[in-house]
Amino acid sequence: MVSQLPLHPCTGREAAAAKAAGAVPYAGGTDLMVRRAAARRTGQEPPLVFLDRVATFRGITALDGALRIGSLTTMAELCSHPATPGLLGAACATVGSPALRNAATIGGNICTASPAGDSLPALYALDAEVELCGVDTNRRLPIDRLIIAPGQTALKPDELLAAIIVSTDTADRFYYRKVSPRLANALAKVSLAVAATVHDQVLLEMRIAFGAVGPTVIRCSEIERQCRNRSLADLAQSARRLADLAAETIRPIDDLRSSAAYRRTVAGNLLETCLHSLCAPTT
Amino acid sequence: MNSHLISFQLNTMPVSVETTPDARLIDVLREHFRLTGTKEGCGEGECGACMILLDDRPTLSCLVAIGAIDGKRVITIEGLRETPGFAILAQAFNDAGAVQCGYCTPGMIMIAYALLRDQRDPDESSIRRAMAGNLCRCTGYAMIVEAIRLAATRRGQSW
Repeated sequence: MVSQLPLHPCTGREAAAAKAAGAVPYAGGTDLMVRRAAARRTGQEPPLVFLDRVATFRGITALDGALRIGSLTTMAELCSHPATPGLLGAACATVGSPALRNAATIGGNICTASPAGDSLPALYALDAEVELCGVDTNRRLPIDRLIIAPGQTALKPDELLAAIIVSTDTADRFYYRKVSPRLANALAKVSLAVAATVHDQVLLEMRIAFGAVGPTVIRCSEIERQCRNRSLADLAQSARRLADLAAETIRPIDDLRSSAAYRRTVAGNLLETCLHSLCAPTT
Repeated sequence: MNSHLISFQLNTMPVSVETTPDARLIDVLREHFRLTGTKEGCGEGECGACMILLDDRPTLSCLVAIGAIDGKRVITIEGLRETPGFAILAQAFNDAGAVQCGYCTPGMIMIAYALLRDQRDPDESSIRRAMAGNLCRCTGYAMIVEAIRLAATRRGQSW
C-alpha cells in the first residue's frame, strides 16, 4: 500500500492524501533529518513525501493588504524578499547559519512547534494566520490556535500547512531580539518580538510576544492593553514597571539551555530595552 | 522505505541512483559516488564540513534526503576543483596558512566560493557572517578569514 504513495506530489490535495496514508512530510529537512537519523538505522521508519513540487505551497504573493507566504519559502528567501515584514525578516535571519537558512522553511519552523522556534514570536506579534490544506477541506486559523503544545499542532492527519498570511499595513515599528550563547547555530534562551503602531507620539497599538519562556509563544495581552493609546513619553516612564509585569506573565522553565530565573530576568530587561527603543525620538 | 530511481546533476554530469529516498545526500555522495571530499563532522547541520552547492546555494548535505534533490544540481568540492576560482582559493588558503588538520577545509572553500560569487569584495564582517556555520577547531579562524580576503584581491574575473 505504502509503495503506491506519490514521492513528489504536485498538488496540495495529493500531498495531504499521502500524509493521511502515513507518509511524513519533508519540506526543508533540516530538523526532520536529524530526528530521523536514529530511526533510519532500524529501517522501520515511515516513508517520506517530498513537498517541493506543490506549487501552491511556494512563493510570496501580495494580497489586498496582506502577504501570502508559501509554507515552503526558505528562511533565506524570506530574509531577502523586499515585501517581508521587517520583524519577520529580522527573526528569520537569526535561524541557524547561512547554509541552514537556504534549506530551512518557514512552514517547517512552524510545524516543528518548538517553544524556541525563531520565526514564531514574530508571527504571533504580527497576528499571522495559517492556511491549512486537507484532502477535501481548506481552512484558516490564527497561528496561536495551530500551535498547541511543544511539538504539537492542531493539524489533522490529512492536513498540511499551505501558507502563512500576514497583514502588511498595521505595525510601523518593530523590535526583535534573540538571546543565545552565540549568534549562529544556537537555540534561543529567550526571544522577544514586538510590533507597534505609533501616530503623533502616541502608541496606538502594540503586540508583544516572548519565545522560549513557555510551552508555546506567550503573548502579553494585559501589557498590550495597558500600553494602548498612551504617549511615548509616558510609556518610557513606565518601562520598568511594564517589564516587571512581563516577567510575571511568562512561564519559563529550567532546562539544558538556561534557567527559569535567568530567563525571567532577561525577558523583563528585553521588554524594558524594547520600550525605550520604541519610544526614542525618530528623525 | 522502498527504493526509487533518483536522477540529478552531479558536478555537471547527469547521474541516477537507485536508493531509498530518505538516504542522506552525504552518504550517497561518499559511498555510492565515492566523492569523499565532502566530510561528515557533526551529522546535525552544526559544523559545515559537509557543505555542497545545491542549485548554486550552499547547503548541508548531512541534512538533505536524496529524494529532495531529484532534478536538481549538486556541486561538490571535486566539481569545484575544475574551476579557476578553486585554484585561486586553494593557493590563498595555502599562502595564509588556513589549513591545519584540513577536515573543515572543503566546507570552508565551498562557502568562500559562494560568498565571492555573490560579493566582489566582502569585508571582514561579511566573511565572518558567511562562515558562521562552518566550524574549525584548529586555526582560530583568523587565517581562514585572511585567506578569503586574499582570494578576493587575486580573483580577477575568474568567477
